[in-house]
Amino acid sequence: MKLTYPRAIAMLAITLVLSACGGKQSFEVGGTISGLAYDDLVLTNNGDTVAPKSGATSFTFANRVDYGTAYNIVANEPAHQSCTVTGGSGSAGHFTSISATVVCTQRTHALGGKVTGLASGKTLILTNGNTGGSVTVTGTGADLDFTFPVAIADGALYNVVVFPPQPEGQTCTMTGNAVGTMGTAAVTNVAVSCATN
Amino acid sequence: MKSLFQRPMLALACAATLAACGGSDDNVILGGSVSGLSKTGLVLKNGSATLTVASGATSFVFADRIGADSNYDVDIQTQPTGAVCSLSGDAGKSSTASVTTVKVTCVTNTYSLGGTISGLGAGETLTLVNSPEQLTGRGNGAFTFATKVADGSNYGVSVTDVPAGKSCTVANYAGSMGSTDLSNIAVTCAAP
Repeated sequence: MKLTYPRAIAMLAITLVLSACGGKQSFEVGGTISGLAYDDLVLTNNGDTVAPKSGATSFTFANRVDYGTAYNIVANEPAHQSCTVTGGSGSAGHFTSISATVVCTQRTHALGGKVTGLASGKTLILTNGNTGGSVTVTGTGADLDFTFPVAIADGALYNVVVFPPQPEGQTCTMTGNAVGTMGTAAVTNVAVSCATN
Repeated sequence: MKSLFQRPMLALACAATLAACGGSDDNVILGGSVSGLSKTGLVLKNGSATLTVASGATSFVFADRIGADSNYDVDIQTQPTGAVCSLSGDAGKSSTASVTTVKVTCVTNTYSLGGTISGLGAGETLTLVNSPEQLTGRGNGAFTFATKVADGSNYGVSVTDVPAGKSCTVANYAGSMGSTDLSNIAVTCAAP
């Protein structure tokens, strides 16, 4: 009896300690963000949401997840940016902590339009400001669509000009939407009209 | 006696073998990466070996290989026209593996762009655009864009927000940047 009593106490103590440690370990779900410039990003994880604001560098979901539970962070992207999540899914506890990386970059869209009146075989060069590059259009006698090789960031200015010299024997002028700010879709309405001198 | 004879023979054999391996058969590639090079004329050198690197190149390899365990020291013999390149990881001692860690980083020269506005009335202003930059609310006088233009790059300036009752013409509104600052854009406004 003397021996069994301490043993029972010891067993009970061990059981209590184990149950205190055990239950299930839980993990905070969060990570870092870079490049976020708008307030409309929403991150979700199995129904839990968090909405980091412009300039945020980190995020944390309100709900922790238990050991062994799957997590999957998905970005519902802002209108003007593209956000990618890395390290955002797995099983809690696979790594010692859950830290996803969200990188947001400004979306870019094509800039283009239509040239009318450019004579067959004549060459017109259009330039977009300082950094937007140039596009060369060769006349066919029909209206021609053009697109600049450099896409423009959402929210950035563009200004299209006729790059000298003018096509031989013709004068081309910008007749619509030459200057503007890139929105959330490609611009296709820059208008250039050429007339024979 | 036997052992005294064998040792020199062994040493001789070793020496012969080493000489065969080594010698002047240089077989280690020397090269690296290039970034930002959009101009011609860059010439690299390593000792007496030279290499012309083309515009747009992203890597380079000297035609002349170097020996294993030999020192290399890459330098810029000639800078490109209109750009400045710098080196990192350009000196070291080779092992038997290719050296691909020399980095060439080039930056194209940039020059300022500006001009003058004339013919606006008192209090009248307009906007100059050389995207992605714009200068708003500009009256008569000189202007200079804050964003410089790269050597050889095309630029084009548009004028918007012209006051009602005025029409403006713009001389030298577009061109290809040379190798000096430009201030020749002339915006001349008048009542049509």
